[in-house]
Amino acid sequence: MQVLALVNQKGGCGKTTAAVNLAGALAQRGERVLLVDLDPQAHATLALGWARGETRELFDVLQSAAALEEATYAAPGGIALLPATLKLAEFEETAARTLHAETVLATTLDAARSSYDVVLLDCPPRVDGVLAANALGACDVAVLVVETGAFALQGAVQARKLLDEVRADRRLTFGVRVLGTLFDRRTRFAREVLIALQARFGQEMFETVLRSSVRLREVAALGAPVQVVDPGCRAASDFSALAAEVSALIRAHEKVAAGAPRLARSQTAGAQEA
Amino acid sequence: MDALALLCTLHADGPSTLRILRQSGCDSLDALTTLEIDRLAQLLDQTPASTRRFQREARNLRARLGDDRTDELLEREEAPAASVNLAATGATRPLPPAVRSEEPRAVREQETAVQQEEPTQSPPAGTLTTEPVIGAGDLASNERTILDRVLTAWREHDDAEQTSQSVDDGAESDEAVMQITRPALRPGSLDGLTEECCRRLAQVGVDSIAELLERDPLELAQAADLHLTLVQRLQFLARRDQAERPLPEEPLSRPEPAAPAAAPNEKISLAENPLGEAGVGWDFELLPRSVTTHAPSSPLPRDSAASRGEAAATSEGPADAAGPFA
Repeated sequence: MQVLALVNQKGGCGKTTAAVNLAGALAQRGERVLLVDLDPQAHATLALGWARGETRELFDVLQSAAALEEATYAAPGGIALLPATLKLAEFEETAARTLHAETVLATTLDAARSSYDVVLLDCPPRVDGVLAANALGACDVAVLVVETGAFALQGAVQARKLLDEVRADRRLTFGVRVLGTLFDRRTRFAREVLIALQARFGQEMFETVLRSSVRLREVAALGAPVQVVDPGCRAASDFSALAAEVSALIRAHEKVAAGAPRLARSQTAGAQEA
Repeated sequence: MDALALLCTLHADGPSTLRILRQSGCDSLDALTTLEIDRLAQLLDQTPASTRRFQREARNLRARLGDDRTDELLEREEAPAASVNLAATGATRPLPPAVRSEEPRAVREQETAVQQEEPTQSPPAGTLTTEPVIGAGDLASNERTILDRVLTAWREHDDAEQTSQSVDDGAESDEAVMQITRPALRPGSLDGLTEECCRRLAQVGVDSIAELLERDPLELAQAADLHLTLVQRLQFLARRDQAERPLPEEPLSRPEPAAPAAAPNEKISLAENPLGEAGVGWDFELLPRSVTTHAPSSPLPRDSAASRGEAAATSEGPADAAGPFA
């Protein structure tokens, strides 16, 4: 199982859209996908049409009040969704009274390692909270989502440094990949930013850059990933290409894991904190 | 992300084009640029013209990614506040189109003027060199370098004029008057006017702006073997420049030679005419646009700022902004 956390401290750069539709594209490729909504705004949850009832959610899992299976729901497009609500914001407060609050998610996901091929974590737009810390502690790869717009490169470089600092401080081992989003090749500015991103991040960048698309805005309101609503559109082809790259990443990781089984991440993190 | 993926994202249909290219064994920019146009057009299901543009963009990107100034560009782009003064590099080396556009027009004109002014003389060391002068990033020093070069050119021009004046005993030479009334066509004096273009125009007897404007564009294009659109655009730019910089109506008179020349290291603003009289007795080509004191009598409509900037920047026109497959 490969855990990807889509991160950036900047809001509106396409983290949630990328997470939801990448999950749909991966599911379409036959991968078993779990999408975890770590953002108290719960936009990924809403984008998959999940309506809150008397049900369990991520907050309960983080509070150890529910098992992962209890709080996971089948969403459109073959995605397993671990939803969030505004209540998740309370976790930031209760975490202070929780032992190993920053490793709860890692522990939970380790237990479900055999159930999924890939887990996508849709992170809140910050890197200093306990939710983001959980995501970074649980992930194998932090996908830095960068909008190809104003201040993109500056923000991306700062975010990249932050990730390095977190990784060094907590002695984590996640890799970093960069994903360009909201690309509009009609504007020279966006083209320049993309060239600069490529020059700066090189092989860390996914080859696929998600182009700006009206269809993506529409499907967010329809409660399903773009592969379900309009599989022939340009956005769907972008996500299919991205999913192919992620699948290759998963297969490569499986090969490495088969060669050298690693310690459970929760054990590693727990040992570090101890 | 490799360069080919970047190119496909920038100028084609992203992953679809990339997949097609890779499946056909074309996995790098080098391979792409050496591919035959017909074969590439067939692969991508595009017209040969689109394919040629795509290959051209591939060559540009390859050149750009191989540019050793990439780090410098990145530093500028990562610091938005500093990116306003992109002229700070003072680079005279030809840049890829997108970068070239960032230089303010005034700076380009100054450099062009300097280079035009001394076409045959070997420049003094460290002054009028046309060798690449890649700025180290110090705005003040680079601006000063450009200023020094312009001022040096002015002074040498003045010296030459004073010498000829002493020979002619103050009489205006017909040649000097002609130079002012009939500005010569020089490479770079109009946007898009290249050396080759000048040569072709000269072959058909067009040596000045006035002659360019007098000729019928279609006939001139056919005679000089130039694109009609290029000739029309050059005529438009020439008319506009004339409107913006009308000739002085009063009789031409020479500036007083007794005016003090600037000391070599003295900082002089370009907005000030060291001889005290703006626009009189000068070769207008040497004056930056901001020095012109005459308001245009009947300004012609300009291109929109955006499209003009784009065209100047990329030399491909607005239609190309979206790439060949738009």
